[in-house]
Amino acid sequence: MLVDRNPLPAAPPQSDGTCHILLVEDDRPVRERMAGILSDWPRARSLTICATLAEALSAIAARSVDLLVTDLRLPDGNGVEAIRALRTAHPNAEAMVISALADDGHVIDAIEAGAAGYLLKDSAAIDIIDAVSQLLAGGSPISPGIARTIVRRLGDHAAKVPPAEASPPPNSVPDNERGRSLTEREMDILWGIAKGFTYAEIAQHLQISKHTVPVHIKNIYRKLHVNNRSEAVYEASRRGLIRL
Amino acid sequence: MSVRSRLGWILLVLVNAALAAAAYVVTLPAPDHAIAIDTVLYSADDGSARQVSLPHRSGWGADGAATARYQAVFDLAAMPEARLFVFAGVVNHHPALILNGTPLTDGRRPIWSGPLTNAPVLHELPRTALVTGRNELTVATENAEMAISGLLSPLYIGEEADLLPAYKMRIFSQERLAPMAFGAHLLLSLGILVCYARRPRDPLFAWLAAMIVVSSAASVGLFAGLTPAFAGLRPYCLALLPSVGLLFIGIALAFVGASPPRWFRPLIVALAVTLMAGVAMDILPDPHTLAAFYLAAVVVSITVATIVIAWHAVRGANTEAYFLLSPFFLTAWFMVRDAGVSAGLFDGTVLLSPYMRPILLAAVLALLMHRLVATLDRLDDANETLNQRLAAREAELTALHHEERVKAAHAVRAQERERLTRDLHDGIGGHLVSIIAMAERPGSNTAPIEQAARQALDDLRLVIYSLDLGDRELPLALANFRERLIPQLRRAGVTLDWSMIGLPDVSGVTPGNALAILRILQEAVTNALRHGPATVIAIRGEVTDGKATIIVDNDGAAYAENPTGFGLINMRQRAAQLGGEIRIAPLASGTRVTVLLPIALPDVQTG
Repeated sequence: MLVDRNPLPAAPPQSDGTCHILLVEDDRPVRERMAGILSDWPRARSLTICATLAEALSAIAARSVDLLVTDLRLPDGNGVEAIRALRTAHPNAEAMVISALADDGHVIDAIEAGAAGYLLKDSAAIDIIDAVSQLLAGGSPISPGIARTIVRRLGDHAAKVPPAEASPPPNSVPDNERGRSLTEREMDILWGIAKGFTYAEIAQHLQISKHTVPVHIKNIYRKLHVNNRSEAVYEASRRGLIRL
Repeated sequence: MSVRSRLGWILLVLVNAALAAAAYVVTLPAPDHAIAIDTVLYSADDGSARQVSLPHRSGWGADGAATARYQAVFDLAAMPEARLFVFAGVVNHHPALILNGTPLTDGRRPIWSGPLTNAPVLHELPRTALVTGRNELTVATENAEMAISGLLSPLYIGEEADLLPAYKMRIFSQERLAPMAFGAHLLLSLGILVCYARRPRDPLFAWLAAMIVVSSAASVGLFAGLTPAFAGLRPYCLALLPSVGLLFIGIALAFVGASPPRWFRPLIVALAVTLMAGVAMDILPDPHTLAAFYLAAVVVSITVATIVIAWHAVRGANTEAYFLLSPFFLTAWFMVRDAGVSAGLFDGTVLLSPYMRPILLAAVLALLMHRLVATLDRLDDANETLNQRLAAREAELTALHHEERVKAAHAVRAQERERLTRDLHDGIGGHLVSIIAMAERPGSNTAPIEQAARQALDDLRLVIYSLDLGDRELPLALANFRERLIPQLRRAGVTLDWSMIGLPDVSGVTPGNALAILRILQEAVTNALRHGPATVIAIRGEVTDGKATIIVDNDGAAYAENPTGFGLINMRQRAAQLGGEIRIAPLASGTRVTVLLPIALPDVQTG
């Protein structure tokens, strides 16, 4: 049996296990419902509620945030911006996306910006709290559809070497670089999820503990985000926005 | 005939008449400052002697004399300071010169010699042989072996400087120009032979090539003076002349696009072979008769060829025939004239037909070039037309292709829209209608509304997820369903036991049929939740009799005895459309719903 590489432990939000939560949602009934669910959660030390991106950005700048729960489609911008701001201002904080449908493209954008999970807006309170707890405990949910989309993106570009001289569009990411940084085990897990296997089935097949699968997934998320960020830095330096 | 072509005709006739008459109008200059002798004492081999004036012809065709002696007398008042020379513009039989009894030359022959050529003579009169007072210069020619009459033009006696210009002029025009013409003939022949080699099926090229070969062979005889080895060939070469004449007719016919009679080609070959055999066996008439026959054959043939061309030029309005008419006519005319001159029938000293050969060939070549250019033009036109047609066709095809693609895309969109409409109508539409109905009920309970709304949203997700499915991605669709099912069952306090490892690979998965399968499973789960207090729902994939099988077990109540519910009917309908079936069987505790599907799903477009 292979020894699992020790995944990075999730940063404990606060010493007592409580956390400062920032909720960003423009739709009032949903916002109020989510606010109600989160404020009832004992581990919530504080809950800041925003309806727009601007409010969210100033809240991220102004106060301590351990967990960001944000909608993507906001009246004045995309929730991805809030996730990026959170990553810069509070590197140890976690971000989660709430979405009505959790369609793959939007969720992956959020993952690349630094989100580590997503919630369906209609999820039951218990499911929401469960997902948030798992996220803070180091786990990350991943749907088969999202896994497949990631695998496809890695696979589409695996054979291509990005041309040195060609200037890629600003948001393009050489996915083979991302793929290269994923370990074989992580790729196996990603494949398994994309094929529709359960965590238990994957763990059994790979002869690893069922509980380490979410940790691997969390690492996959992190690598997608880190790579994406380093590529963003590279892109920015290439375009002369910053000097390295 | 239009005015323009009439003018062209008149011009053509005038130019040809001018060229034909040129031989009588244009004469080479005679030397100045020299003693001109145009009256001499002529003695033939029969011993008779008489005064004749120069130019004079003797021998065959004239007086029949085998040898001719011309005795010229000139007086020298004193022995001149400078050296004296004698010059004769035209002497065709290579005379021997005798001055006061001293032989000066025995008749040196130029390299370029032939029956239709003649040459000037310039010879020094040595001081030792000259006397003060009366001098006698004798010019003796041998006519016997010559087929045409001997000719002597007026004699001039003077200093070299006075005689040289006229001599050089004669040398150039008579001795040099003829080989140059022959050289040009060879060069042009090469071009024609190349044409024939590249396109042997073209009758014109074949005739021209034959003419080149045969006439070149005949021309070898002109080199008779070069080396004695050629001398023996001469009769054989000359024997080709009648065939050359006939080839002119062949060429003329080919040019105007007519074919000669069938016997014509064999005749040409037979004539040449017969004559050469005759030469070999020495059974032919004397050279004079033979030469007359050869000349007559050539002249008659070229005249016939000219008539053929003229006929087609006039009757057929054939531009090419017009173009060729002139050189053919002039060739024919100069040959007739030269023959006449040689035979002493016409006045004249210079023979012109050797110069016509390259001109004739040049005309032929010009015509071939003209044809080439015309062909290239036609080719260009054809190419242009083809390109235009091709472009038009391409544009048409592109338009058609585009139209087809638009139509196909339209069809796909329409099909997809129809499917989506149906799916949304079946799922979310029904749920929304229920929600409205429940919400309108006064004092209504919100729980069923919430449940219906959740179902509507679930169904919407089903529809959306299934949109992105590829073939053989049924496990993915099932996994998405599982993800959705987990919180649903958790809310109901039911454990989900799920395994699809045993499910075989199913092909033909489309968004439509994947959605149908998921709805079947959703219905099975819904029934399990509705009918019995299940605590565990187990869903697993298997292979049964080569069919993909999904089994949904619950540990609640058995509901198989009530198979008439709308849910079950829908499940069976959907399974049937996929080529599968639903089996419902009670378990010891609970119910088993078995969904059997073919390994390759049909492409379900309706239902």
